[in-house]
Amino acid sequence: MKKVAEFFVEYFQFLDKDSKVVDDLPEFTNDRGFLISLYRSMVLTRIFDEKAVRMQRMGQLSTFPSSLGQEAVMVGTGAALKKEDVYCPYYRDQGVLFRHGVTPKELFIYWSGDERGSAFSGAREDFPIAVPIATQSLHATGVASAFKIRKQPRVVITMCGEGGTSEGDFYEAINLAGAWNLPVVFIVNNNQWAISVSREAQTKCETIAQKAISAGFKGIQVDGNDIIAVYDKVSQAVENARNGGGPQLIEAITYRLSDHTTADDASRYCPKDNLDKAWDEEPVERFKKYLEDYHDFNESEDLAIKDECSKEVDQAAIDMLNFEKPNAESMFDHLYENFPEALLVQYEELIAMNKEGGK
Amino acid sequence: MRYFNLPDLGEGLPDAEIQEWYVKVGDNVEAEQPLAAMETAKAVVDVPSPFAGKIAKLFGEPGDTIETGDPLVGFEASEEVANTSKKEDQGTVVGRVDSQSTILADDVTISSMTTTPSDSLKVLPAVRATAKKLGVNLANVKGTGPSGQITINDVKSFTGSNTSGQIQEGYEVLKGFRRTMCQQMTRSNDQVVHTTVFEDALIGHWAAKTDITVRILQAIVAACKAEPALNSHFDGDAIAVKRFSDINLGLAVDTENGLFVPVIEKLNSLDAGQMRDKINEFKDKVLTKSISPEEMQGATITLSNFGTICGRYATPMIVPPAVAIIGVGRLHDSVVAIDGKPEVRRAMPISLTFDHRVITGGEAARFLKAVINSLET
Repeated sequence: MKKVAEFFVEYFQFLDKDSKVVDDLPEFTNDRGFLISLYRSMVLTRIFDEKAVRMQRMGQLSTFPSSLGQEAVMVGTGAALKKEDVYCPYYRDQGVLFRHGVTPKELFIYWSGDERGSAFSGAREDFPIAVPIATQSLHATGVASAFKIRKQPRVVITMCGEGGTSEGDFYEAINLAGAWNLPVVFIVNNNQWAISVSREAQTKCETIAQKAISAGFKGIQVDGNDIIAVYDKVSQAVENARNGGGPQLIEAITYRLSDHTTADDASRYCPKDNLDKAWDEEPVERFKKYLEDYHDFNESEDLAIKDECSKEVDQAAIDMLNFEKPNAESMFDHLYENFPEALLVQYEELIAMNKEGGK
Repeated sequence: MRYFNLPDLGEGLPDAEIQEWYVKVGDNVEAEQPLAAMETAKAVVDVPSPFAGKIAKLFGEPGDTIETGDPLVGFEASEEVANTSKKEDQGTVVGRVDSQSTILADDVTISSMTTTPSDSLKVLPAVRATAKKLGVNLANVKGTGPSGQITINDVKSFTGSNTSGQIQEGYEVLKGFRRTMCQQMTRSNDQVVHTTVFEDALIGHWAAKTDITVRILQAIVAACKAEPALNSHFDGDAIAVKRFSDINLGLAVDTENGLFVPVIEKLNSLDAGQMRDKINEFKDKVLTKSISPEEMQGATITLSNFGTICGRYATPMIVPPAVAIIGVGRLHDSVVAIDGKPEVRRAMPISLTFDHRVITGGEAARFLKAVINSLET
């Protein structure tokens, strides 16, 4: 026997669960303003999620997946994107989208069941939210391929849950990304639960990160509750991809503190002990304590941020509720360049019906 | 009054049950203050108030089921909204999901191995589970939900009175085995391509006190050996057949309480005495109503010996997934041509029904020939 290949998976953490610095901090941690902006985005995401769940219960949103406890994964990823980069989202990454120019109002509109919310005014080329599991991995590989063909120095990031990495779509996407050395970064939000399927039941792999090895590129783990680790490693992967270094997979280890969606009740399957332990390690408080301990962040700054974010989210909800409903005939829009005859008849019938009061 | 109608708390849920009220009539509530804990088929959730105001009416007590879109809470109207039309919802802005076709199509696919008439109905899994628990056949329940969907309340009220207002005067709703027979035969008629062949076995040479039923069972064993295709199960949805080396024979037994079909397992491994013991055991059990449902499952082929009552030939119906049933008619003296001359012989009329989707006419005829040969030996 001779050994023909050998692999390992690295794990990165800068802040431990008690906010103590456990590794040499990266350069950007000297930029207090940037750190506060990361914290603000995490707070905004949490307040948005809480509001969205209440709105769903009042019949104002059709369904909603909260990202409670995973704010560092989201905001750290979103902050690593440059304006010209493209993001292919799944359904739990509002925090990424906010950092890339998508507004709370647009996401409220989307989750109220109105597709016009997917027309992101501040991130025109970001993809619409993919609810089918892991399809966005393939979209991302496709977009990265386009960048390579056009010779543009742009990068795609996409995210899925650890459950999504069991999908054929995911494996196909990482395989092609590796084979063609594409500028794409795969983030896996390993929040321990795929609806009610636990991380242990999901795969025999010791890490999700090692799945990248099968596609021929690097996969690493980061503490997903440590925003510094997430931002640092995703940024490095993005810049590496931009410079022709190819894809990378980052498994961010965190915990879903909420139900899967508003149509779920996690208390039926998630052991309470696990949940209590996860609350002790959650990212927003961890980062806040670090800011207090190392950057003189104070309570009045914190209150101001929370107040500002609450107002922003409340206003977004009001704007959504006042958003003019689409006309019935808008269902025909954006379908064909040249409208077929058969549909034209239906279209005219619908207009006539509307004139008669929808009979 | 200003109404807050129950929103769809999951994804296409038809209703929710009030678990606890957090407010009472006369309370002033703030926007987003929790009003009630509601239990859906999926979760218990707090429902917050979509607006601030004074509670004028609560539409139910804990334990009551409220349908999605029906009023949950009434608020005292402020002046500017007092003129809006009654019961118009002012809280919910998201429409409810009226059609569940995508999800239900999946549901039907998953359950295709055990399709019953009610499986093709548009019913939420929670409603189906309730119906199963309460022993209600969904095919008989009239839905009052959106697009005629059956709700949990429909199922519950159906058990309350089986006559649910749909039964005409003088009719009586079938229960128990008659209801099961109705469902099984309807399903059989819908699915199976029944074809029947007839032949007489001439048994004049049999010794006195021959055990007729045992002889028939032995003939079936011989025929299954000659033509094993008839001793099979067929899954019509999957278009898949399962062959058996052992014969589990369903023996139809008529009683005052109805028809029972206990199953004699591994008929092929029993000798004549053991067959007779089994027949006697099952007849006793049927008459004393001590037969268990397990003892009436898994027949691979069935015998109906209706001739002990009356009738020479019949076109017996197959109960899927089986593919064949043998009917034995009344033994009688028959004039037959023997060597070109009429003679009187004892005859046993045999009717064999087979599912022509799975069994060819040749296979069925060869099977019948083997039965006759065995009986005439």
